[in-house]
Amino acid sequence: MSGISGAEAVTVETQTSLKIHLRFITDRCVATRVDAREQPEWPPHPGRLYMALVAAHFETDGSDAEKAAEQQALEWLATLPSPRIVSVDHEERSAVTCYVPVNDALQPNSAMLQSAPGMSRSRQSRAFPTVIPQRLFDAQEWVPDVSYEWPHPAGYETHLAALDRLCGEVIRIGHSSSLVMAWTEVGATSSSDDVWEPSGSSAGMTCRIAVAGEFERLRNACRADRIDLFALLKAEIESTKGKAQTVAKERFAEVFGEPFKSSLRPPEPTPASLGVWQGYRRSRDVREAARPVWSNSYFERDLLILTQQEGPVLNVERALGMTQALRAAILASHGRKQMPAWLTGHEEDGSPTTAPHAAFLALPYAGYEHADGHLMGLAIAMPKGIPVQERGRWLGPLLLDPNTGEAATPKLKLWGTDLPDWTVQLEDRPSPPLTLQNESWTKPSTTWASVTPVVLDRFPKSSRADERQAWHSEVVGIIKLACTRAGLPEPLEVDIDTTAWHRGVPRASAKTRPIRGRSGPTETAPLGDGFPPLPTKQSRPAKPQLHVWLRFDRPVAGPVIIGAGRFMGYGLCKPITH
Amino acid sequence: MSDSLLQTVQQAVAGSAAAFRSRARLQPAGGEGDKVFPPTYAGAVYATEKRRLPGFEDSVECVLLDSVQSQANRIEEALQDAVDEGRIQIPVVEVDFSDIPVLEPGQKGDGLFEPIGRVTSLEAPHRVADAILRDSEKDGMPFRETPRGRQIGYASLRNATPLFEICPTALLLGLWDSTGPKGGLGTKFQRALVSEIIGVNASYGTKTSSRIDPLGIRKDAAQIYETPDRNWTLSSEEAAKDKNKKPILKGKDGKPSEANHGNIVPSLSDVSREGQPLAGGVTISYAEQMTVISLPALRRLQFPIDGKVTREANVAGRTVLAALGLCGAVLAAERGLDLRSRCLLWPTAPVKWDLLDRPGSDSTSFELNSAAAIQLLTEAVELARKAGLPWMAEPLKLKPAKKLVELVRRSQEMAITSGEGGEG
Repeated sequence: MSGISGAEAVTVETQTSLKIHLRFITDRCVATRVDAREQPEWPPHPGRLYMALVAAHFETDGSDAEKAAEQQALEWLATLPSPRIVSVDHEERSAVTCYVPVNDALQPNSAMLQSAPGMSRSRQSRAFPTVIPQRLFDAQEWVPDVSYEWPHPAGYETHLAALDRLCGEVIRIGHSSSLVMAWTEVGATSSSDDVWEPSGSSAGMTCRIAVAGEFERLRNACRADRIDLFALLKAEIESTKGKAQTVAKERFAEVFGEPFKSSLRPPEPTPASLGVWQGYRRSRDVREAARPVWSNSYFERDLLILTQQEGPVLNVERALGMTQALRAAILASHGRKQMPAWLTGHEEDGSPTTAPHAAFLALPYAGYEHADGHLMGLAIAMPKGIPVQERGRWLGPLLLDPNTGEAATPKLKLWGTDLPDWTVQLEDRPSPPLTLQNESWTKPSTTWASVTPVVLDRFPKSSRADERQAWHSEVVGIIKLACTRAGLPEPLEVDIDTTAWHRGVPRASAKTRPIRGRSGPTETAPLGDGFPPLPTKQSRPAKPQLHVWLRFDRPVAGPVIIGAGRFMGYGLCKPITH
Repeated sequence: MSDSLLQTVQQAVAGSAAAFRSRARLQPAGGEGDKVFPPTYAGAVYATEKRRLPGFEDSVECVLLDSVQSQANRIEEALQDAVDEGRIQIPVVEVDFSDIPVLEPGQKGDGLFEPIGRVTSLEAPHRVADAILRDSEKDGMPFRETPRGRQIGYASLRNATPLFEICPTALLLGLWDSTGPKGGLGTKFQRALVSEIIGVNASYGTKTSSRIDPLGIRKDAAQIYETPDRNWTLSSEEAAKDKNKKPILKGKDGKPSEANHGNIVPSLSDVSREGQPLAGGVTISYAEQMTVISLPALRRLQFPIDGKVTREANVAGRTVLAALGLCGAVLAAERGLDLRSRCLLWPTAPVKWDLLDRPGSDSTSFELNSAAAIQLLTEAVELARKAGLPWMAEPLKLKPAKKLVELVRRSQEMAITSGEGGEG
């Protein structure tokens, strides 16, 4: 799953890198993102640095030898693989809209100029997205804000002097007021956790880069020669007569392919743009991803996912009802036949089985920005070791059409309500919504958080009210044990709460309020949202249920389902980013 | 002393140093801790950010007090004042409006309602490429068709001499002649001087608004009507009539406040969504003005003389521009930074300049007052003249074209009429 090649996973501490450093000498960087023009770009893309170096090459003069060396150095630089990026933290200046005076044909306007009162000028709005590098306050002048590193670059010795000269001529990165100091260094590759590494997968950010041939492409896009020639010929035509003018006109028609007209506009330069983007991930994420992943030893990684086709929109609080409906439908599809223990969870004599058995899950829309916790489908997590034919034999009658073999749409009755039935269907679309994708529930992650409450396997001995700390550590211990029981390693860190970490998920249990005005033992009614308690036999008290946040010492592949209710959908967790 | 200063600047320009930079600490004129008013942007908000600074453990809230563009305008203003006072001589192009007669509001005629005086290349928003100069004439010929005006269109990094001759501030503070003969690629020079003022450790204040009427006129005292000449009257006979022959009320509902009479109940400034008071000023620990003159930007400029490029002329031209930047910044600081109403800042110590050289080398520093800065500029200009570079000794005087005067007259008319309707 890591998708990282062996070379990138090698330790970098002993390598030498070619580095180009930048320091923003006006204490700020003003550069817009090309894909979101109201927002600032940080760190500045390597492609931006490359364009600045190319501009320095074309706009400065030097001997022929110097210029040739610069061109070769730039062409060589673009052939190197994408650099690593080391940057300091940053804060954004609050986004404000400025109004700048225009210089086109003047129109009457009541807005007056401050510098020349009595004169009016229209204004156009502009934004200057700005970032403030958060340097350590005692940093010396030559500690960079951003560095680009190319590990063991072959042949750098030939080009270092020319690159250094070009760096010295770079004026700015971004807006013209975003002045920089740039310089080169050859030194040990940086090894901090926060370095951005080029990565083909799971990118945390993407940046424009320069690739082989970029130098030539940028030169051609600028079209400076044509524009200068246009202006020159136009001036000549307009200021001469007779034969000289005819000659100039002929030349014009030859170069530009159309006869000269005084209304013709000069050719516009193509804005310099880079087409290739590279994904980047933080070093610590790359290292984590390269670590061996723990696979759940109890459940298969592939869930059987059923999408809701018809039926009312239900909140994840109804998870238990839905998983029971699914289970009931599967049992009903076989009539009175004896079902295997791996599906029902019970042996022939009715006692709970100790062998691995399937878990029925309800999948809510949770964790995303506008998530509201509604159920989008159901799933069955298969225990390991059940052959495919076995599965097909017992699940096929419900889920597949016997005649065509295509996915069927079985109905699930919602017990005890007047609501219409749900219909579900096996999910087989090429790109279903994220909530109905297997990867969303099983991709390896070091941190997980619950979307249905985790029910404790036993009651904690300490009292929650009187011995809070002892209660807390006891509960954490119970949960750690629950993880190992569910096929997972023991987590490094466990956090618990009644509120869920994933957005849209209701409280682990509803708050209650006393009902006033009734005699007899205090009756309570639920207050606000919350999951119903896991049903128990013979009206035994319900075990505590709460939401958890787990951190493991290595990436763990899902499904992650823990706690006493895990075969019925309680204790289902989803990966969370820290 | 100034000899070595000129040498320092020359060597910096000719070598590989990165920039001249000054960080001036400023305090409000009312003393440390007095409230100052930053510029407000659309929505009555300030531009704020967090910075890590020596003397503060955590990152500290800062507010923008004067932007890069505004600072450039103030430097030009300071230079213009120094030119007017005869303290320095730099090339300027002027458009002279003083021949245009001044009219009373409501009068008909070819004049202006508010006298302009003179607008120079230091005051026009786009400097010498501004539309005001484009629409002005020298002896009846449009400015951009005169020999000097025409040259602007062909100025480039490789040929900065025409601009050096008539508007060197354009080379220092930036210029873009987007409507010239080269269109989008036209004569574009990026700024070489960047200056910004931020207030450090800002806490936001509220503002109150109210008016006490010394005459005690009550809002329900009477109904007032609008007269034909935009004045007001109590008598409905004298009022202007609408198309149904009914008298028009002044403003929305004819209250005395529409004619600027009466009390306004005191109120506090509005509050933003996060609970921050809007546009109520800030108190700061101090303000910092940072000015940077980029030497690589100056080194991009070449100054050919009669088509020939010499190192001597290049260095001389670049030295003049560096000196002009230093001089402008010092003059602007010394006259006090009167940024806007209730925002007057003064430096707390003489301003120190650092020369930022390549990483690893020591930086040199020097102090600069206006006398030394003016001396530096004069000497640099002298050297440039000796090297053969042109430097316009007298202002280039233009007259506004008829269509420009007409445009200004119409705009002033719009401002007068919208001004009256906008009150109350």
